[in-house]
Amino acid sequence: MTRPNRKAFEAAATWYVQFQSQLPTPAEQQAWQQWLNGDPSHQAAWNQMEQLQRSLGALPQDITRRALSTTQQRRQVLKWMLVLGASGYLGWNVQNHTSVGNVWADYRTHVGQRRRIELADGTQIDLNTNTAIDVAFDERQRLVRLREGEVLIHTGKRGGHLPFYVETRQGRVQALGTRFTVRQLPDSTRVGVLQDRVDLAPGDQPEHHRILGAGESADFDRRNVLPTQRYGDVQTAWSNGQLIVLDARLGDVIDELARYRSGALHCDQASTGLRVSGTFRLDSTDAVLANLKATLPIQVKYFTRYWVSVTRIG
Amino acid sequence: MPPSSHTTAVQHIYEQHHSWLRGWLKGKLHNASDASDVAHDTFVRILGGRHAAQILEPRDYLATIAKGLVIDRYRRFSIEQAYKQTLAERPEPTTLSEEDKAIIIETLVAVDKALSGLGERARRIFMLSQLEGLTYQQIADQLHVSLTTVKKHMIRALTECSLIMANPS
Repeated sequence: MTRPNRKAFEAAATWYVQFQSQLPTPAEQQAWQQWLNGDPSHQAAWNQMEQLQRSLGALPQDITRRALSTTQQRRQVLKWMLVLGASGYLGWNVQNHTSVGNVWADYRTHVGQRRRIELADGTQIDLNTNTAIDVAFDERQRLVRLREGEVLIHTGKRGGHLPFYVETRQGRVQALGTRFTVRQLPDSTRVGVLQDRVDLAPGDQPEHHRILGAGESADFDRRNVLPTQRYGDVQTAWSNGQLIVLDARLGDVIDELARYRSGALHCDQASTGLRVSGTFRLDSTDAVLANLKATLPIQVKYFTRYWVSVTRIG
Repeated sequence: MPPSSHTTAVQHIYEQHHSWLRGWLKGKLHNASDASDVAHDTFVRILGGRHAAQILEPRDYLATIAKGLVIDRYRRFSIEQAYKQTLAERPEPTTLSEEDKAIIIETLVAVDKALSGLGERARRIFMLSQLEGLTYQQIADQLHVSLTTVKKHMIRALTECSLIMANPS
């Protein structure tokens, strides 16, 4: 088969457009016929053009509109990402499922895992255990959707003046500065600020928004922001793989450890009020339990690896 | 038949750089099996070419091809996604045969690829003609350009589309 080259396709397209524009005169028709017979590649190019028209004609409008407009919108962002990708900063994932509309990158950690990613604008995100986020950057904003879990975000400088948001089930958090955490709790969102400021806006009552400064933390639901608490490096020690507790209730420590383990981890009523202080490694919760057992009047029973129960003795 | 210098060169590049390429892709895609697929397709592409013996900077070359393949996968993926979403949002359920679906997606991939290489005006003209069904004169009036300009951009867009459809990657 003769493969048409660019010139043959150009000629075929020119004829085609001309005929679309107005009915050919007999002279034009003859000229076209001559061109067609002049070379087998011309015939092939013409066939291809007709095939293209048939395929284009068969395209359902709604699908075409969406497919072409969304991908063309994404193109700018994609180019931007690839440029950065060349210098090694890029993190994006083609395979995962999409969030509506934008360039997506979908990242997750399983129970007990932690992971640090770096996005195209230089933003660093630490994902704590059992966390899932979507990243949707476009020309107007940088948006991270926290689907579950907890993230520590260090916003990047290469995003220019584009606003940076984290969206949760309860509302929207806007970064007015550089380092903060967002955690999705069962019925609320917890935000903690390490540097600069962050604006929390409950989804149903955005006018109830509150700005938190460094060293502050607050929970909010869809309507209100709860009172501000103190916040600091102790609460984000997980990003270094540590759990730091100072005179904490054993019940709270066990609950915290349970986030990093698959299966159930419980403590009984009698032991829950015991006080604990220390720095523990999160990558080995079994070792932490052994450590607690050595220093507290408790017993740690393993029914299976996934069912552990802490009870008070004596 | 002794292997050609082309095949030998591809083999050599494969031995020297395949695991580098896979690692490089893995760093970008965050997914080992995607990275392996793209690395594999990259070599298939080079093998299908003719001049491997003349490649001077194999890693640059591999990276360039692999990047194109990643964009193609991305393009196909987002088009399939748009296809699914649109069908899901249609008021009545639609049944399209697998064959129709394949033709629609192949065409959209080619068109999208062709349009990505064109300027904004050519894209707009092509969409108005093919999607909205406007005549060239109507497009010219709407965009305040000459009829000749509309035709010129249409010729360019149709040429790119048919080139891509004739040489699918």
